[in-house]
Amino acid sequence: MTELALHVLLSLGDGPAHGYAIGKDIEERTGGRLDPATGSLYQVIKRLTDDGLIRPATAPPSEADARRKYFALTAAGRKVAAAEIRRLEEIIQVGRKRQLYKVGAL
Amino acid sequence: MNTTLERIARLLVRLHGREYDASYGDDLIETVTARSERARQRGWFWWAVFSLRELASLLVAAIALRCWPRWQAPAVAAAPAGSRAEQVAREFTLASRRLLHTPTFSLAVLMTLALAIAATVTMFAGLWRIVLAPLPYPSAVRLIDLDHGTPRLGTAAGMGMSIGLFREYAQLPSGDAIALYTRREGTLYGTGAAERARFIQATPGLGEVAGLTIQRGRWFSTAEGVTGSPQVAVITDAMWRQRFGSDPAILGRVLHIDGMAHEIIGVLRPGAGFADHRAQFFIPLPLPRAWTRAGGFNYEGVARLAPAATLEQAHRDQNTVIADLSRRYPADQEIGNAIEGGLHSTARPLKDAVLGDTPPTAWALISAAVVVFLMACANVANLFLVRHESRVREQAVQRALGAGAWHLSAAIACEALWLGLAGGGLAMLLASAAIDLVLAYAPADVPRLHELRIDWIVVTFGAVMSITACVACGLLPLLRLWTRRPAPLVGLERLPLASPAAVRIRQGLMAAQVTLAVLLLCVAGLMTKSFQNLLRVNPGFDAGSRLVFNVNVPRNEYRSRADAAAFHTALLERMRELPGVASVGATSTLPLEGLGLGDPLDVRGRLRLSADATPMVRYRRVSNDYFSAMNVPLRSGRVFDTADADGLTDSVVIDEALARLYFGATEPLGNRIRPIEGDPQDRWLTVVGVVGNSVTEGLTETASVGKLYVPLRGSLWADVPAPHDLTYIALVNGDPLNYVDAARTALSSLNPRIALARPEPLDAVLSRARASQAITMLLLIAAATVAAAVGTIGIYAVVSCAVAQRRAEIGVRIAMGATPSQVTAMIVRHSTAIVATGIVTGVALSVVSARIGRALLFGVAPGDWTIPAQVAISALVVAAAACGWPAWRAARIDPVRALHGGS
Repeated sequence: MTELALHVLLSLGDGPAHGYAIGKDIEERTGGRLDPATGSLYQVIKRLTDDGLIRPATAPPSEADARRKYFALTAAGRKVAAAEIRRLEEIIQVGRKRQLYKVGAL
Repeated sequence: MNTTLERIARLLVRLHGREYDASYGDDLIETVTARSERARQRGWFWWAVFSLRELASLLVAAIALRCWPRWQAPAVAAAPAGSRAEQVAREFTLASRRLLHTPTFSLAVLMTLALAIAATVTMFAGLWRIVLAPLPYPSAVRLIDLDHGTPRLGTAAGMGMSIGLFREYAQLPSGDAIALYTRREGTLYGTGAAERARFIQATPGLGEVAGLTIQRGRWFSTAEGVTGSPQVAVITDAMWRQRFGSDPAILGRVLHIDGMAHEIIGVLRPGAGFADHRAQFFIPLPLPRAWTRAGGFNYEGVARLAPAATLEQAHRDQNTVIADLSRRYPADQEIGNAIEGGLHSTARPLKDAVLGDTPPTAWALISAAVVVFLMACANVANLFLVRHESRVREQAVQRALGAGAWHLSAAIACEALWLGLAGGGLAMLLASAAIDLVLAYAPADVPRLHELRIDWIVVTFGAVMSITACVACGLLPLLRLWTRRPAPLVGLERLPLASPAAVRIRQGLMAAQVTLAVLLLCVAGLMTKSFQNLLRVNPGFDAGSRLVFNVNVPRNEYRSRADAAAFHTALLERMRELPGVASVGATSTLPLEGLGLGDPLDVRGRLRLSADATPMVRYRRVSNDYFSAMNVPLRSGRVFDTADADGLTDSVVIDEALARLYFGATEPLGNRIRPIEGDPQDRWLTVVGVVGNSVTEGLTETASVGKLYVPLRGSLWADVPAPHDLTYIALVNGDPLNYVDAARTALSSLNPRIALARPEPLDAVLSRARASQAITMLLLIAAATVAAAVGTIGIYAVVSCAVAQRRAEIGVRIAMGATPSQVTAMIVRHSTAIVATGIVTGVALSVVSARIGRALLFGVAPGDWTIPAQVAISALVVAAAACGWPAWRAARIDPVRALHGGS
């Protein structure tokens, strides 16, 4: 799984969001380090949808906008995200044990 | 801006496919819009960067989405499905993949088209920007150059304008606005080193005529165009930036021009200017309030015709004024003479005056480029035809699997589009590089060269060329596809490699290529011969190892001729003392610098002829050593000595042309001469020597102009140039440019306020006179070389194909006992007929085009048969060689394998 795909899953952790909100959330969370161009973002969204990790969702009534399309995590998406994070955590633990990475270090 | 971005983004989303668009399109566009608004807040630059990145990412995503899953798809696709856009996109993808699979073919076509289109576009840019585009002034088509001629005095046109006529013409109803101006060069000093600068001196009307727009201050007022008004100047934007560092307080600063202070009252807008794009500033041409003469043709004039007026009307009006001049200015001797000489208006559109003899060259070059382009198209069409013919079997299979004619056509069309458009795009890059090269290396005297650039018209022309190239690529195979019954699937392996119709088309293309190549070779040959003739012209002087530069002493500091002559004598002395300088001379007008002033002459003791029956003689003021410094040969008598230079004698030296015109076979030495209708004070002067002729205006002049040489402090005849503005010629050891600094030091030790102008080797003056012919010749030779190469390849390709197609037949012939030499001869004979047709047509066309382009040729008769004959023979030899190789291979065909269909 690419980093961008994982970030898309993470963005949807709080509930359904549209493409623009996903992109903006990723950019803000990573402090601008990841700022996917629209084409790349939707490429990932399409692939995640095709793979059944996210699905089109109905908009929250407060933000209904016919042109917007909302996406939500599927159960499979949650599992895959969790598995991916677990995998990353293991990597981090190995890194700490081997003293390649200290807590709080960036 | 945002909507444009959205629109392009929407197009790119559609490229992703219908399904994708339906699922994600709207949300994606909303995202692009929202992000674009955020990017806008960071400024235009970042917004532009953002937009490019967004569009690139969408394009990449579209390509990835559409190509990736199908990359492994078979070459023979199933019947196309999906929307029209999807089908088109798929055809393009498939075509690009097929082209990538045959890199030699694709590259050959691409490079041929790119080079040919680039050459055509470059030449078109020159033709359009220089010859066809209107001059950069408002209502430029109505601007006319005011000019006069006196045909009976030997000046058909080019006399220019006088103050008197300017005043008269200003009253005419056929003109809207009128201005008198002169191009000048002056010395600027006051800040830093003295510098020579070009400028325009003009009546205030020029501002309106040329539409000169001002960014600061103002243009001249009418009052400033009268003698005695304060001295002012309007500077160009370039001068403001370079010399004054864009000083915001520029207005009111002072410009010292030849020792006179001029207050700067305005700055022109960037790009605004007139007549001389190197002119740095404008000063008013002050006209006296009362003026009693109509003559004095020392200026140039420009006028804007009234909206309804025509040039003929302007001619009529001006000639009516001229007819009345002798009655109104009875005391003006000069105008009286001119009217007797047939003075009349030769006003012409300003553009014609600016362009001079450039248009024929530009048309010749674009014609050559178009010929090369047509040959490239013929070659590419041929390649496409072969490619298509070789795919007949593949297409039969495709048809059997359900592909329709549309699908097969689309395949060909997409390949043609790819190559044509890619070739066109590449060509635009090449053309813009070529234009940079032209701007860097073309001779500076090409008019309007600084306006040369690629504008939207040039881009449109390039696009049309690309589309023509696409049509050239695809048309023949498409026609063949639609007009021929599909090949049967059964017996495919027996199908011939090429149908008889395709062979005929290819032979036609081959003949056309030979025709065009022969045409270009002939034209290039004529041009080369004419350039060789030009090189052989004896200019009448030696140019090697000579430095020339100009020194103009200001008239307000050196008021009398004697002062100026004394200064120049001193400078000549200093120069002569410099180590390495063998000889130094000076002249008022260097050969090739133009006619200069002159008169018809009277010979004492001879029956006086009327002025119009006597040839004009041009005056040159020269220092003693001028003839030795230039190595102008002395034919009889003597050249000037010190006594002559000091003005103690009445000696003059004439050239052979003058001697022939005035004295024929009789002895010219000792004769006394003076201008026929000059000032009564003009003294009689004695001919003491005869020197060789030297060129006057250009190397291609047909008749020598008679010249009268006057010593530095001699003759005070009104029309002999004063010794203020002289050009020096120094014969030196080694590179002439090494002596510039020493010359400059010598000059500034005498007077630091005088600048040394335009130092250059005399060689450069001579090669400049040959430059336009040289460039035309080089470009035509380049075009002809490309044409010859393309033509040779074309012949080779056609003959090879013919041989491949006739393998079985040749095999039978060999099996029946034909010898290899018989087979070779048969193939060569067959091709020679086609080549000969092409050569004959090409030679015929070249004779026609030489007649059309006569103006470009020098010393070559248009009916000259030597060059076409040489070209025809060489073309025949080259063509024989191009056919010979395939023919030789044909003779070595193994009959057994050929008859079995093997290779």
